[in-house]
Amino acid sequence: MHDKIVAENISIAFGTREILKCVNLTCFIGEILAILGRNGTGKSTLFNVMFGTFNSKNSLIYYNDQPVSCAELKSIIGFHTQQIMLPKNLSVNNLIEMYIDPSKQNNVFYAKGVHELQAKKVGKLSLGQQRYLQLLLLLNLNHKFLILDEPFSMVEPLVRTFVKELILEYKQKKGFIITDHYYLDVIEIANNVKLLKDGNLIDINSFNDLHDLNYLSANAIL
Amino acid sequence: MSRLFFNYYLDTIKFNLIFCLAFYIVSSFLRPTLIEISILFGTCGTFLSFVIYKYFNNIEYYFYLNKGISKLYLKRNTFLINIVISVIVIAISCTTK
Repeated sequence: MHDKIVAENISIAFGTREILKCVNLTCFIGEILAILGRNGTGKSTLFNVMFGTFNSKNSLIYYNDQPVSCAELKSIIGFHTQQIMLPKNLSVNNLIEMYIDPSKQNNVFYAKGVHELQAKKVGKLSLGQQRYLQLLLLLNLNHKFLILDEPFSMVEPLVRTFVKELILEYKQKKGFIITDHYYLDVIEIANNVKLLKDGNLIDINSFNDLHDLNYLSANAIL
Repeated sequence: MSRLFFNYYLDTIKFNLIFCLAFYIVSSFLRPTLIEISILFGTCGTFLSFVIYKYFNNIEYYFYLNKGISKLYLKRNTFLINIVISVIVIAISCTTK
């Protein structure tokens, strides 16, 4: 049986506004679960709860049916944030040596496009390069699951293809929960698509569902 | 983990040193002593460096969290090191008087 992470009963309210209403989700290793949603619907909040950086009363997260604490979550789930989280003052070389286990460093050093970045400082890289490097680093940590918050944003089309290839390559070993406004790229690689709307996660089976639920306009190019 | 912690420590200590230097310059008419500056470095300067780090680099905490290093671990150890440095500087300045 594949490893799985299950989040149950995630509810968050800011004042009188309920952002998440008893959200439940399950992700298996080998699965890419896409969560789409318009701005401000609570996707990042949901991810922060799953990563253990945001508390949700009464919510429980299970790893292979065992409840896990916030501290334990961080060894099971990695979080690729929307903003760049890498320290800007480090060189790419130093960053890889410092962050990645020696046995896995070559996976990063020899990944597509990394060779020409190695001598540069992280802060001198373009936003797209920083985002690609951030993803590469997180893929080579020991987490079983990875939350990817907008991995395609600000990334040029060619690198977006690299990113998709990377995610599909690592899918055999990890489970992914992914969101991005580049919904076509997300849907292309996802096994399971859900829409976060009005605090609820809704299963999506076709593009028509996205139209019907007002995520896409009627004349959106597909 | 120690190299990662050291990176965080260097990021925060520069804010602390700038604060202590600024305090020294601004309050130079009061002639602050090395002991007073050391106390400032170990206490207010450390807390202020956490605040400034949070303001400018808050997202970088996720970099450490992904490696299982909590904010508490980073802040507690930074505080302890700064206190030790302060005590050493105070002890040296007392013995050389």
